[in-house]
Amino acid sequence: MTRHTRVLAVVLLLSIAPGCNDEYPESLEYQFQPYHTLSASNERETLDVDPALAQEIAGALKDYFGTPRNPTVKLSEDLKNNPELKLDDHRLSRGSHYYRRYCLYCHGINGDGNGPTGRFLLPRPRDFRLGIFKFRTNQQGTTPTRMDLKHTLVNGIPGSSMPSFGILSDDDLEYLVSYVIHLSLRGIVERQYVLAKRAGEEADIGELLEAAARTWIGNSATVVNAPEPPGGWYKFYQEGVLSDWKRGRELYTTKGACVECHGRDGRASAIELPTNVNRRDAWGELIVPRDLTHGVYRGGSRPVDIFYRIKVGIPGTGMPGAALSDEEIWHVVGYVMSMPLRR
Amino acid sequence: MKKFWISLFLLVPVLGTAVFVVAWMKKAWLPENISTLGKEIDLLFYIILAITGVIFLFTEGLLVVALAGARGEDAPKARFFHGNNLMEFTWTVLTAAMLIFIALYQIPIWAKAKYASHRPNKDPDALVTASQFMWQVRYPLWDEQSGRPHKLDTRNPDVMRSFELINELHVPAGEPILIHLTTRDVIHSFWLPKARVKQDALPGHLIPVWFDAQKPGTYEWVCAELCGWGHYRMRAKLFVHEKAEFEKWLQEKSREFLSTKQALVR
Repeated sequence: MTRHTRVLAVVLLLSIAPGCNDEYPESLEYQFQPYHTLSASNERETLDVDPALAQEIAGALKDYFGTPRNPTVKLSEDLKNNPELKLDDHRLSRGSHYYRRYCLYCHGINGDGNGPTGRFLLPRPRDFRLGIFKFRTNQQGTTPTRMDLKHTLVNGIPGSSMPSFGILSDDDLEYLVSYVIHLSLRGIVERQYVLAKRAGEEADIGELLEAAARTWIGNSATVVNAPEPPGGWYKFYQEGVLSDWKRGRELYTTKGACVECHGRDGRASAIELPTNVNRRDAWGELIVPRDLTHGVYRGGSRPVDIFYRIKVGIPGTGMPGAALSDEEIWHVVGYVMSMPLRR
Repeated sequence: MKKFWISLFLLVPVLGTAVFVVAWMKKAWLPENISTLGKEIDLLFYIILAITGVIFLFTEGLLVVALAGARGEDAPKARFFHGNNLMEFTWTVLTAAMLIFIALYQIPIWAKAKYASHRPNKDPDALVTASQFMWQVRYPLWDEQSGRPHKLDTRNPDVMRSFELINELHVPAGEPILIHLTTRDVIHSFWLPKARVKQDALPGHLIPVWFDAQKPGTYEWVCAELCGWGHYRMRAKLFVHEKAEFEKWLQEKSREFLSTKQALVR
C-alpha cells in the first residue's frame, strides 16, 4: 500500500465512522452539572459543588441510575413496571438511543437544558432535573402524566424551539418519555442528595429515589375531567357571536384575576406584573406572561388545552390554577380564544 | 494511446445517454405525477432536455472527431483566425432563438401555476405556516350546523373555528386546492414533488399556492430550502383523499379538536 492509499483509507474510515456510532460511548458517565433554581428571596440561585464532591456524587448515583449508554433505575420491580413510570432497562436503553439522536443537542446529557444548541435558545430548553413540567392535565403533585409528556413530544411547543416529534412511532415516543422520567428522577435525587450533604445530613439515595418515583404514581387518576362547555358547542359559540364573550371578559377582569398579569387587552407585559407575583420561574428565568392576542398556545391549541391550563395552572411559573367553576372557566376560554381576532 | 483517449472521451456521451435510458427503464426517472398541470411542467423539462441533449451529443461528437483526426507531433500548426461574422452570427442567433422559444413557450404554463388570474376562485383550504423545523397546517373547523367547513381567514385565523395539525396536509382529490403559505422565521420552500409544486415561503408574506391532486394516496412533502440544522426533519406527508372521505376526515378531526378528553392529536 502506498502512503496515499493509506491516507485515503483513513480519511474514508473517519468520514464513515461518525455515522456508525448512534449510541453513547460505553465509558461516558453522568456528571454533576450546576442547578439553576429560584431562591427563597426570589432570585436566580445556582447550586454548584466542588470537583471532589461531584466525583463522589457521580459514583454514588451510578449504582442507582447507570450510565447514559446503559441507563437503569434501581427501584422495586413493582414500581419500575408501574404503568405511570415504565422504567425497565430495555425501555430506558431504547429511550437513551433516541434521546441521543433527537434531544441531546438542546437538552443535554443530564437533561439539564445545556446541550450545545441550548445556550442559543430563548426560551431555554427545559431542565428536567427539577421534576417540574409545565404542561399537564392532572391536578395532583408536581409531576405530569406520561400522556402529557407525549403530547408535548407530538405537538412540539409552538412559540419555542421545541419542534414536533410526531414522525416517531408511538413505541419510540413511549421510550423517550420513560427516559425523560429517568433523567428527571436522577436530577431530583442528585439535587436533594447535594442539599443534604451541604446541610451535613445523611441521605439515603434509595429512599430519595423511591419518594421521587412515587410522585408520579396516581397522576392519571387525577386528570381533569373537563365537561362540555355549558349548553354544548353550538350554544357556546353563539354566545361568543352574540355577546362578544361578555361573561368571559367579566370573569377575566374580576373573579378570575387573569387581568393582573395578562393585562386588560391580553397583551401581557413583564413590566406591568403586579408586585406580589414572582418575576422568575422555578428555573430562575425571567417570567414573561403569555401575550394572549397571538393565538399561539404552547401547551396545545384545542379549547380543552386552554381549559386545562386555566384549571390546573402551569407549575413552576406564576400561573396558578384558577378559582373558578368549570362553567366559568369555559367562558374565560371563549374570551381568551377570541382575543387574537380583536387585536 | 490515441485510441485510449478517443474511447475515454467517447465514453462520456455513451455513458451519459445510457444513464438516462437505464433510469427510464428502471422507473428511476421523474417521480410519478398526480396533478393535471404536472404533465405540462414535465413537457417543459423534456423540451429543455431534448435541446440540451442534442447539443451535448453534437459537441461531444465534434470532440471525438477532432481527437480522431489529430496527427500528433508531425501535424501542421493549427490556423489561427480572429473574427468570423458568419459563425458568430449563426451561434448567437441560434442560441437566442432557442432561449426566446423557451421563454415564450413556458409563459402559459407558468401562468397556470403562478399567475393570480389562474388562482382558483375559492376560500383557502388551509393555512400552511413553516417554522424551524416543522410545517403547521391550519384547517377550517367543520360546522355541524351548516354542514360545511367554516370560512378560514388566513390573515387573522379564528383559533376557535380552525385547528392546527403538524406535518400533515390533507386535501380532497380531483379539485383545485388553494393554500396560503407563510413562515414564522426564515425562508422555507413548500415542495410537493409528485404534484409538481414548489413555492418559497417568505416571512411576513401570505403566498397563495394552488394545485390539484388526481390520485388518492399518501405522498412526500418536504422543505426545499436549506433552512437550518434541522432542515432534514421538515419531512411531512401529503394525504389525498376522495372528496367524501376528506369531508369525513375533516368532521372527525373537528370533533377531536372540540373533544374534552385528554388525548393525543396527531
